[in-house]
Amino acid sequence: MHRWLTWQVQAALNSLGKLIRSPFVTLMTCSVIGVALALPALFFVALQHADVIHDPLQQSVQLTLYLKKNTTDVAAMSLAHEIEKRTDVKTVQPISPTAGYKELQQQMGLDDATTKLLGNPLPWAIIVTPAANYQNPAELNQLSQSLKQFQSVDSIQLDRIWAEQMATLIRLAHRITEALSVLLAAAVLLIINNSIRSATEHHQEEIKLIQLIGGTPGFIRRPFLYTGIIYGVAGAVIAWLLVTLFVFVLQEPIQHLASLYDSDFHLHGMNMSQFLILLLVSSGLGFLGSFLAVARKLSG
Amino acid sequence: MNITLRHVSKRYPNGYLALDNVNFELTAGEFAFLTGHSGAGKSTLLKLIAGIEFANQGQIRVGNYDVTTLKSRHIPFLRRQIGIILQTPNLLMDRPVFDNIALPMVIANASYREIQSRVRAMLAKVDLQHKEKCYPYELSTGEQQRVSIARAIINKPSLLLADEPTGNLDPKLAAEMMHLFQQFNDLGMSILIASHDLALINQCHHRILTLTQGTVCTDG
Repeated sequence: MHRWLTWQVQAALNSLGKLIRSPFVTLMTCSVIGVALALPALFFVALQHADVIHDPLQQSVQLTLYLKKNTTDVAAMSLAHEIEKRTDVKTVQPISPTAGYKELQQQMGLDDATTKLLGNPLPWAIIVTPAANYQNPAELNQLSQSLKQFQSVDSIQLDRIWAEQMATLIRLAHRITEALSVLLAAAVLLIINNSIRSATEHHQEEIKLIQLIGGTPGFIRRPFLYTGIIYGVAGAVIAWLLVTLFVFVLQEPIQHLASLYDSDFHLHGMNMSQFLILLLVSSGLGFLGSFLAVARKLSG
Repeated sequence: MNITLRHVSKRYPNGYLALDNVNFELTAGEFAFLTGHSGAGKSTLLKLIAGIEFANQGQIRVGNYDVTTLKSRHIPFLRRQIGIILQTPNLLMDRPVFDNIALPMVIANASYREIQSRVRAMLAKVDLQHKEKCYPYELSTGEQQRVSIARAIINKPSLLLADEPTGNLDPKLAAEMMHLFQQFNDLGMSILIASHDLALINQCHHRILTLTQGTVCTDG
């Protein structure tokens, strides 16, 4: 066992040495792999941020009920109480025309003169927050339909729509990223397979000789497998560097943008576990790519 | 290690009949030459014994292995019992002499200490003590061939197959090489050498198998 391990380490070091002795070719190959891996990695990182922004939006789904103009204060308050009793509703917040108007005044910076001139055009409004487990689109629609049944309700505005559109877009982006990842993983597999195949061509005489003097397929495969794995690991590191660089370059403008929206939004690079997954996938592809290349050589 | 061939025939995919009903036996510790004109089937016969090519008919036994029915995953282990020397030394040009000779032991998972002492012993045997760090292209043809011999016997095979090992050497070097083979044979190694150098063969007074058009026609 100890001896086996020694030979494994030696084979790995030999492969590494060979790669280092032709640094330009090695760097080119690893960079191509790195770029191919950086693309889906960047998309994943970007999507993770989209989820971070989108999640709180999901939770703040509200319905705004606008009551008919002629609704009395008493009728409005009793309707609010009635709605609050429903199991699918968490909270209600009635807003009288006066309160709503005051808020509007503040937001728009209107002075008293203008408001006196125009009169108060606002109706009673009730903001309804659905219960936590009644927030999916179908149930929300049902709630909205049943609230419409009240006579004094004029119209209902669902804050949900744009949030839903965004969720759909994010789902689409997830799907695209996944498809892209598969494609680029296939590209990495082919790149490594191709590099190892040309390495086996280069070592054809050596392979023949080793077969002649009793080398098993495993022995012949070993250095090539290590070469493939090293390509994968180096590619993953380059991809991580690219993502980090990208995040670094975007950090400042994004922060500036976020501050304009009063947000403390922060751009993050890959975390440790994401990097480990990338490393594992990439070296796995390296292993598989070189295994297939040598298998073809040995059978041919 | 003894070799037995019974009714062995080999036809290549292109239809060429290289060996036709060959029968012979080489007992353990025996030294024999295999001779005949070019294309008589000498190389084919050696390839069949080493499991490089496979017979269409007949049975070949090498020691405990039945080569004709051997599974491909067992072939490496048959080859480790056989030292093979070809007309060209077939060395790895990007590695020094030491690494070239050590290769069969590396394949057999020997420890570094073992490898070191055996390679040094082999270098002494083929008289290349001071060349272990040299690269093959720095050596003469005769020296390269001696490296390939050292590589063939480092794992102490019980059978040595050589295909025209002296083909590229001048008579003096060829004679030295035969002397080396004789030493191995004295230690109990079975040796089968394919050669058409009749002058050299006749000096050695060993059994001679003559192949003509794929058949053993004289033995003795």
